[in-house]
Amino acid sequence: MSLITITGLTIAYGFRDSRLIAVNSVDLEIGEKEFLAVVGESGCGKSTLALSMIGLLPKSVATIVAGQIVYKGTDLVKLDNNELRRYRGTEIAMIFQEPLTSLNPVYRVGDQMAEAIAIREARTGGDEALAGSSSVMQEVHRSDEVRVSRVPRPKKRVSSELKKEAVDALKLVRIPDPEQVLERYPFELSGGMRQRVMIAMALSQRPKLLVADEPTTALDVTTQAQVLKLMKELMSEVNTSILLITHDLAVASQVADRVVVMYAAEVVEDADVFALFSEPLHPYTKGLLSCIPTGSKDDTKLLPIPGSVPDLVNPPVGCRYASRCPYVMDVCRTREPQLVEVKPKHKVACYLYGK
Amino acid sequence: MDIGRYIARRLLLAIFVLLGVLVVTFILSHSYGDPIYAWLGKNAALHPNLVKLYEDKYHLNDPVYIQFYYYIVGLAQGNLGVSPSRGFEPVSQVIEQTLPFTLQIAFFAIVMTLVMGIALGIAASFYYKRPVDYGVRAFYLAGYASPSFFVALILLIVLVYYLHLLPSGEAVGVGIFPPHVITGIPMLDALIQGDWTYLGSALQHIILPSLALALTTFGVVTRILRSSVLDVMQSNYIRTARAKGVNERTVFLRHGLRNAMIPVITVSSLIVTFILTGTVFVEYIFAYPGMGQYVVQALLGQDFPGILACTLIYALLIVLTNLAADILYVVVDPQIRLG
Amino acid sequence: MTEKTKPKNQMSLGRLAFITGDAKVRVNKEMIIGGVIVAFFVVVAIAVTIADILHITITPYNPDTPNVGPLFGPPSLAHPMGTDNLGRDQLSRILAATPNAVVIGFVVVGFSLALGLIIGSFAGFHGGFADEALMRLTDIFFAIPALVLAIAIVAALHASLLNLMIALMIVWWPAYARLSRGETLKVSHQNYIEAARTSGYGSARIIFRHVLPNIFVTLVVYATLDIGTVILTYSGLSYLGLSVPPPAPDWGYMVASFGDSLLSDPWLPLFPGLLIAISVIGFSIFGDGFRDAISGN
Repeated sequence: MSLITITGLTIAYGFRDSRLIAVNSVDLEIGEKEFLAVVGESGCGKSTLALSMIGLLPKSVATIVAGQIVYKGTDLVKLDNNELRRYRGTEIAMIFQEPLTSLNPVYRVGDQMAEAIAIREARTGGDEALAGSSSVMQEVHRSDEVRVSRVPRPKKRVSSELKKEAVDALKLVRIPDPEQVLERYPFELSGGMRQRVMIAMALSQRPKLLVADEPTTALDVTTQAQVLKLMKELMSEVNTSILLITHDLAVASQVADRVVVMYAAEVVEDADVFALFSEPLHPYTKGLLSCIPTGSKDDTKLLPIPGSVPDLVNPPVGCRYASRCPYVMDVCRTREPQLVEVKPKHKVACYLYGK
Repeated sequence: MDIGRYIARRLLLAIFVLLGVLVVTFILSHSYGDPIYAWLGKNAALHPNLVKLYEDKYHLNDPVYIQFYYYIVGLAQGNLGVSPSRGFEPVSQVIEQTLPFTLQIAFFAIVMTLVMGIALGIAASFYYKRPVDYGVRAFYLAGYASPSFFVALILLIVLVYYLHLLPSGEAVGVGIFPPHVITGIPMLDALIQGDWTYLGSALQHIILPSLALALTTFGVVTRILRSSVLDVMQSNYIRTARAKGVNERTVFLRHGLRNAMIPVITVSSLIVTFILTGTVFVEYIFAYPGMGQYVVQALLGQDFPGILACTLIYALLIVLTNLAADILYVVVDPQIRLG
Repeated sequence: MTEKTKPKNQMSLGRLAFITGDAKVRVNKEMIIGGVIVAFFVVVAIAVTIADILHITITPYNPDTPNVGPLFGPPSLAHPMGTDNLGRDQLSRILAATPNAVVIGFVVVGFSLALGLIIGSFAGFHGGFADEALMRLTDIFFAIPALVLAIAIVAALHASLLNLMIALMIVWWPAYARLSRGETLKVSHQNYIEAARTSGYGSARIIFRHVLPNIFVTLVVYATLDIGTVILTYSGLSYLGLSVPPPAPDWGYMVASFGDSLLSDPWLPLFPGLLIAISVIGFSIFGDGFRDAISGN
């Protein structure tokens, strides 16, 4: 059963005299407890797609022109910002590419996690006003003062519960010495640690879907592997689907169940991870795969794709990959191919398959 | 956690700066012709016995470094010379009478500056590139560009002479007696003792001068806050807060504003300097009996001891606010505390 | 998109472009509005000065001749800004005082810029004691309000336009020294400076050839904004009677001397005050626009 269904989603970035279609009639489906990876080059619209799912597109420049994002029967596109907010965090959570700057520099890790947990509790308790009150962030601080001055405060129980949950969340992401880390400021932690904190914070809200936008790109290679492994492991421990946005097909192959390949604002292939790697259909996917160094001696396999990504302000007629495609046909230059299921659970947008 | 060392370092620096200021005023005291002028003013010769006294006490006929030593010692004892423009009253006494009024004005001016500056800065950033934004920018540009004496004059015409809204001149209405001295700052004393008559009148009298100062200074706050709010609200941690489902008001107040206020602390020194400079004109125009009025009086009367003493006191006030800002930094920005 | 469509209103910055390599400046609205105001004051200042040297009057009336109009005459067609207590034409007097403000603004800022650049870049480049000494010295200067220190200095020197200028120069340069020190620190860790150092060039050569050209633009931008502040401070000192001795006209002093006629003849203090504000606004807007243009905003 699918958790979220995106149909015909089109997102435009409007600049004064030029409109850039960053996402062009994209169809996408994420199942429950599914680990889906969206792969594409930078600028192919995958981050825009991710942001649109929690309604965090930059309002001043980006607009959803058409399409639906149906989450549990509700079309998120139709909701206003305040209604959308109730889905953020507890239903759909998101972690970002920049772990170094994604945590607020002036608050302790513990405070920021407590805020996330308090929002979840307020929602499950049906009293969201609590999460909005500005006392929540200070709760953890206050409990510290209480310990020092030994003055009992009524709130103490609540905040120590929050703290315990925060510790649990940090333990979940394998952070050693979590009590210590709660007292730290973000700048005292390494990039890998911060990204773990971000993941812990997101998971502490128990979302149904975790959107991870290039979570490992800014990290060094060893940390990258650790974080990816962690995300894969957490999949089985918590009841969450994960949508991983990445430019790296190799990363996707390590962790994802299913891979969606995007090119120039459109989905070109959508397949099971094994099917995609053993039998890639779209010429672009094939091209991407031949760019990955395999480690074998057969170095001739490492081929860059000739040409460059088309201009999204004035996209070409027909297939957008046509100018770079080695198998290009006449029809490719006149009509745009549709994403069709050519094999069971394997969709591709290319005239080489089907009709 | 080396807050202690950080503050100790700042304190040491402040003391050093004050010593440096003393060197500057000492040099100035020797530039008026005879060093005795710096203690008694230009007409020192009229008081031969005072001349003798000061020459002996400050070793004015000895080499410069000995003079400097006694200069410091004299200042440490609170002796700032006598003020010819005030009938040869000791300068320290004049400062004691006038400084509290300047502190009052500065306090209210800073409060108004911050209130106006922060409110308009936030408004401008919220309505970025919309009429409100342009309006705020035009307003603070006009305020910043207008000399404080000009703004004071306009306020005087409009609010006092035409609209008769507020009184002008002196610190309180005629016939109202000051409260008993506790802190030395009349309005504070009145507040402590519950002397509402005095406090009410004093408030009426302080609005105009401090408003004139705030109008010329708030732009410093507005300008920097506007751009830092715009900056901060684009930052990744704001996006994280939104992604957590924090409501927009809390995102701004809790996550945005605190970070955006950090650059405002950076310019606190500039704000205080602006306001203290402005008090010179504003007190003079509104006949407010503070140190600023005394500076002008001293200047017109070639009262060098008065000018030098005021220079020192202004520097002291600025050094103290800088110290306060340094400590405030530690509270607001943990990176300074620990980094 | 940004690469393909080049903005049409680009101009190169002449000398600055030569110095910075490729400083293309997009002229923006602020630069034009501010530039017009600044140009007006500069042109008037130059014209008045030349006329003064040639002993001719180019202002509508001779600024010092009394009774060209009624005493305390309100603004009229013949006297757009009214006439003062001696029946002198106020517009002529305001125009005649323009060179004071313009000269003080440019000279004080120019001097501070030059001295600050040299001292600041030296201290920043060499570090160590020179740097520490400069920083502490500027700390001291920043602790004393410029206006108050200038008052104390002018009090020692006697009031005149030259002495006022000297006082302002003394209190003004430290800000520039500190700024150029900071900028020097920023650039001196760049590769080309390191390369020059390892090539064994002398520090004077490196400072002049490599450091100064790179920090120059930042300082010029700051200086442009700063001229307004200088004029503001100068007008304050003038208000206190520390500028040209009467009867020569000066903006700040004109506001001061007619402060009492505020109710009866408001145009007398209002117009000079307004002129101060407009000139400061002109420099501020121009400086803002200039900064935005340089930083490619």
